[in-house]
Amino acid sequence: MTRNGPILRVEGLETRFFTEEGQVNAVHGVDMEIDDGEVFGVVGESGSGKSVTALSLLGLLESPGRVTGGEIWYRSAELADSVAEETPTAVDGDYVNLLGLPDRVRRTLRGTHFSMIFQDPMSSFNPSLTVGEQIAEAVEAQQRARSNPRSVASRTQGYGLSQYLMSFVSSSRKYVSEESRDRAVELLEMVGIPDPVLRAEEYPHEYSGGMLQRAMVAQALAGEPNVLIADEPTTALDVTIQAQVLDLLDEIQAETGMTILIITHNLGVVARMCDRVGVMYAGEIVERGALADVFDSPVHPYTQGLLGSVPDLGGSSGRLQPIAGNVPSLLDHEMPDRCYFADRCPKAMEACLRKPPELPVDGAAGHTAKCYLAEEPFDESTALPDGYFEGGSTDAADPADASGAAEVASDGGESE
Amino acid sequence: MTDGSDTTDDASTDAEPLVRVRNLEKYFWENDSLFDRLFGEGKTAVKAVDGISFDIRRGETLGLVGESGCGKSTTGETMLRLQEPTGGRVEFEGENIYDLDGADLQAFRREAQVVFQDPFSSLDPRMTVGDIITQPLEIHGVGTAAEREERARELLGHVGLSADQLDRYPHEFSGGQRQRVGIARALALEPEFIVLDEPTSALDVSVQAQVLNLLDDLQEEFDLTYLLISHDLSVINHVCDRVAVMYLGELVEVGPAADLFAEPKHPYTEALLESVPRASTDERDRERQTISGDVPSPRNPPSGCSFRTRCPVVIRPPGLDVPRSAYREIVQYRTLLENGRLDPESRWEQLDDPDRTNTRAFVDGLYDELFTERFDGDDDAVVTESFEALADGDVEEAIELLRSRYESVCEVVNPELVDEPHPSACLRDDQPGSVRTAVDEWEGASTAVDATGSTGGADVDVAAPDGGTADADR
Repeated sequence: MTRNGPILRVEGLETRFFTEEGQVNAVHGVDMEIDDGEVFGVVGESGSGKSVTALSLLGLLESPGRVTGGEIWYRSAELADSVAEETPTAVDGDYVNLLGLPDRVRRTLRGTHFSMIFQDPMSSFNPSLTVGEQIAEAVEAQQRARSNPRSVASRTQGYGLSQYLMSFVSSSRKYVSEESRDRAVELLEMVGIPDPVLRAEEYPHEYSGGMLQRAMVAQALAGEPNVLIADEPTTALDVTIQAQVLDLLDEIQAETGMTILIITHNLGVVARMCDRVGVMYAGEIVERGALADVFDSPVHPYTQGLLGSVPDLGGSSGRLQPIAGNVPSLLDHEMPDRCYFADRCPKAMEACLRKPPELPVDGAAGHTAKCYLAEEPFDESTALPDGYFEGGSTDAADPADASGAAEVASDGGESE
Repeated sequence: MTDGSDTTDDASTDAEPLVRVRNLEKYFWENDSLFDRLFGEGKTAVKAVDGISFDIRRGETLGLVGESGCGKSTTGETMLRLQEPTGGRVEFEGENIYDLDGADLQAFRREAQVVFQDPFSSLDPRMTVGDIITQPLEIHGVGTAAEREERARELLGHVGLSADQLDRYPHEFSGGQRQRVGIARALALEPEFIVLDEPTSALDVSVQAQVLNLLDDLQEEFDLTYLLISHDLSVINHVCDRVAVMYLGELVEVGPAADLFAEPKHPYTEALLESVPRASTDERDRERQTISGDVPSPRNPPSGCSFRTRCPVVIRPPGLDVPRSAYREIVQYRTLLENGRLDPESRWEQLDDPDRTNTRAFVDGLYDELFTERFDGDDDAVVTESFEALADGDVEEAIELLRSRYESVCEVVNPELVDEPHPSACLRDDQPGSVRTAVDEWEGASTAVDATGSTGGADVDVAAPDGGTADADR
């Protein structure tokens, strides 16, 4: 582990989706620094922009999504050398701004520098090719990308009518070399798949979900990436299998010293895996810092709410403390110019009507929160009155109890 | 969701359970078309629910927990007679629901309702929320149109939505709000019993907490009895009075939530609890005892105890002097063989030995791959012999060699739940007399085998219904 600064530095990342209903601000000024060899967790609810952040890093966004601002600085001396001539503006010492590189170059980085594993292993593999072949193909594509960054087309990419006909003439035609195949078997063995030789010849449907997730990890490792992005790697799996896959990621990280970015909604997974964590809400990182700081002394009321609403395995019962209301709309014209959480926040103050900047939290290095509470304690006298954000919505239901009433109010307000 | 303390559990509420499930079975048949019957090898059963028994007491929440594919949702649906069972009975207020018809069945359907997992697909997108909630009332002919609408308004209030949302469509609501609509629909007929089938697994954590609290309030207000089906142990722990743990169509442990979570008896329950990552900062350093392997296919469940293929504490044969970890490796090796996952052909191809003369290399390769350490004496001989049989391509012989020496009582005798407050289906725990006898018989038979060197006769009656071990595998 070298200590010349973070391997990845994201500054003011903005990602927008241009839809028929309007502009969706999926990621909104995200700053992030990820150190070499650490496991960084991004946690948030659905629609908070965590997956879009990951896709933006890799340049995998599809229309109508587009990165509209910010910089992604990636540290790689080798890469900086090779692109310095062509795009001098994107190079700063050892760092390269990925957003300043042409698509052709970014493509060569996928697999060799960055790699990704996805949530649903069942839909991430091609059902008509054997698992071994798909991993071998990744191996081959990475090798070619390394040897000649200008030609990265995969061999199956040109699969057309002539290839299809050829497959009848000689059905044993393979698209990958023997060596790549052997490497695929090695990779499968590395991720703990029993009898990898036999397994490599099988199709994805013959695998169980946990096995397939392992195979996806193997595929992601094919290019020996420096940064692995895992987007909800265990969400589709049962708990006993989830534990196995997390163990595997842990082992691989320890072995290779790879940097891992884990994206998840599961606070348990974050606690299990991560050194540092960023909490996302409505496209922003609202709080970040070392795991212990964020989990043990959260400052942002959203982080507190998130931790309070998780039913605990250890201690029993007691009422859960949910966050009232729902995840807000990310449509540009519906996003107010204030703290996005204020309408659900139990501690909303007048100050919160101005957008809070990222403020350092006392007592811990690198612990910051986008909340005024980081600087000053909650002041009752400036608190916003209950129902401040309800607008003109009429919620005159006869609720069952008082806590129900609060929920009615914010629920109703949301869908107005 | 009352705090079910142990004292009340045992005495007062024991009187008459609301729902009594006895030996419930639901098999699905595969390869059962006419064509298959004429030419195929006969139909195969997928034993989704394989003879389970439990009670649900009035006013309690029973949690049914297990991994995907273990049959928990099928249990819920069969108990509501949304599916017909292939065996067993379910008594609701003392009457077998599978015998009901006509007006009695109608009455049962009013008393027992369900909330489904996915609020996005369980509400008709072309009906307004008002129509959705009043539909059950309409079907059962309750009240006039005006009364039904009034009732729907009232219900929306109960579930924390506002009454003027009655003429909205489901797509206008968020996931949590839709689930509230689903709950309002289930409440419409004032049921006594509600099956909650993964009611919060499609929701985000903060919204999940809202819905769980709502369910808690409603139970108190309307004296409801819940069956909560979930794969999420922390939800189960938070909400349930008693818990039933399911694995491969069978119940492995039933008990009061507090006891079961504090002192799990069955190794599977223990493994489940160990596997859940906790949201606390000392999670990284926690000693975890996770289990290896996947859930076996319900088409071909293991004989005896269905958990034995993954069990960390599987019982070793008497008199065998092999450490537990090494025995686990033997079990895994046998499972590979029995499931056809170890193919001698491909092994030979790897060895680059076209004449297949170097049996030594074949054996050593496998030995090193499958076992961390070499065995001594007889164990070394048997394992080596089985590898040699494999080298000759005789998988059956290898299986038989291993079986005769390493067969565990867990694969012969199927453990059952005894009738007590916190039973577990594990041979290491209390077992009913019939199972005990079977274990004794097996132990007697296996020592006899050792003496005479012949197999056969080791199959006790209990093992017979489970059928196929090795040979039935594909």
